[in-house]
Amino acid sequence: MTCEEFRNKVVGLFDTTVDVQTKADCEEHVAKCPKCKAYYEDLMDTFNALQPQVAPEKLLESKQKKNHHKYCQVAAAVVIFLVGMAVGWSHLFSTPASANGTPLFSIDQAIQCVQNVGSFQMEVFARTERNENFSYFNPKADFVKIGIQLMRQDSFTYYRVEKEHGRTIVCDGKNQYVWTPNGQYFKESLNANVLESFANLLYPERLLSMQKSAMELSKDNKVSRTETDSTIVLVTEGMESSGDLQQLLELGKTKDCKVTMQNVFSKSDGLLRSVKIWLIANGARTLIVHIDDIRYNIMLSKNSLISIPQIPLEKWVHINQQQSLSQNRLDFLQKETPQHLAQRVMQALIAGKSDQAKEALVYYKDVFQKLATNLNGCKASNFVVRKDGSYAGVYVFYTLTKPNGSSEKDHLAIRNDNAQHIWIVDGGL
Amino acid sequence: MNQENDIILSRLAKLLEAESPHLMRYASYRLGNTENAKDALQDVFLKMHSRLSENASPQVNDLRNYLFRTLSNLCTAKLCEQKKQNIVPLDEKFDSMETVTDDFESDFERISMLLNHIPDEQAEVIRLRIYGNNSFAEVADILSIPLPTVKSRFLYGVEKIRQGMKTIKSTI
Repeated sequence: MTCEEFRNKVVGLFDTTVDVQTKADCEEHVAKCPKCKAYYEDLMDTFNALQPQVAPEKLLESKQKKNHHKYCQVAAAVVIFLVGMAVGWSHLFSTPASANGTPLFSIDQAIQCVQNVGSFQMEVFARTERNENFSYFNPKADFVKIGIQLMRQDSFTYYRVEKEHGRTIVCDGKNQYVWTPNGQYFKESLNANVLESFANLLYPERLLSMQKSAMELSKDNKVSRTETDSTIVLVTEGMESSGDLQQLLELGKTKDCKVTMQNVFSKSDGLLRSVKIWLIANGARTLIVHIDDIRYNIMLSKNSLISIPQIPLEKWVHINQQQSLSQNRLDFLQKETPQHLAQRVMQALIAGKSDQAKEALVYYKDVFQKLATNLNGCKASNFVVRKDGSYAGVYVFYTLTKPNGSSEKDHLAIRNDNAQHIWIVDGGL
Repeated sequence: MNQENDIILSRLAKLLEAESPHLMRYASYRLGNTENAKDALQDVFLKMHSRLSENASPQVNDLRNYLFRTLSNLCTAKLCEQKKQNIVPLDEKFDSMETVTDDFESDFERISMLLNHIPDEQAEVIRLRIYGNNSFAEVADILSIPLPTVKSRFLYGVEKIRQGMKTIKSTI
């Protein structure tokens, strides 16, 4: 693409929907042309400056000042219209961010700033398990990168959450799609909590609201504020083990931890730009989450955002889809203990016989042979069940002894909160 | 009212419910007052309702664009009537784009300050695109002008605002 072609096409980037190819071509061009990059950034700055900055609540207040209607005829129709308008009122001014950089900047104002943004993008680095779901943080794990993109358009919310080398969740405004690198594909309704505790990170306003609740819950929880030339920093500290900050993170494992969160806002627009979360336990302070650069109201291609693997529709299954089982088999599976189920699963894997645990390994049927090959010749022993407050199921820890004699501690995450109440392996493999 | 008009009226009611945030936002930032905007929306609805009640089915290809077109024309008429198109001098605190606004009036003033320095036909394209959440193709249909004209008006308008912002910043 030449500079002239770029100038002819750049306006397309400001349309309601952006052509993917145009976007890619323009991005490629600005990456190597500083002049066009500066021009595009100028346009984008101006476009952002033109966005309205008033929150809907403010408008509702002003709405009360005057209330006269000139027309009495077709009154019923007007009432219907006004009801419709009231329904839509809450979505008024859905794209702007209310700016605030005054010394009185508070969590309330911070929430107001972020809750009306039209789109945002961020990379979350969290200590969690790469191959697990989104249920918990693990202070002992390495940082895993999780890309999050969210866009609000026409009363719909679209998002994409990608765990690097792990599972991906996409919401197309109607359904949520979850898939894993080992070929599991799930389709769930909007209400399904497939993001688990990471849903707190998907909405910055929720993250801030929960900190606010924590501050209100106990005087021991405190917030401090500092500022630089360009930023305002709010640090919230949860001083009691049962405080809301802990609920915020939904860390059943860290009952005796304190939580500290650092929120950095840019002064120019009052928007939350970076977040750090530390756990403090036994005198050790561990950074468990850092988000370094949250970008708001950026151009996102809806098509790219909600793209999912092109596989036959029937391959997308519900997480809790019922399996066809005889009554005897169902009775047996329902009465089985987690410990027994874990033993049976490991035996099936080590022996390479999928029939021995096909119901429990329903999410792993496509990769069963690969897992079986990896476990060939191993032995599993010392099965111990452990319940975790943040997880709907239980963990079964075991010792895996390899053919060369070395051993390691592993675990299976299993749950039975499905319609048939049978234990199904949910993670760990 | 014939059956076809009934169907259009029903579609109109649904459309108003779905589009009211964008219609309201567009009208608010055009008229500078939420109450006037609300009145304008009522007027639009009543106008369309009486057209459907009294006349044969109008030829409407796209009801949404028709709605925006009616609202745009009505806002223009209201502004002429009320003589509310105040021109703010260019040297008057252009940097207000970065100031804090927590009420509609000051935000309207801030945006008006930006839009008042470009020709109204460019400002109207920008308003319909940003506050009405219309695509460029929809704006072309609403204003009955070619799509390339819409795009060039939008681009020239944004470029001009940017130049104004830069000029003023460099002189402050």
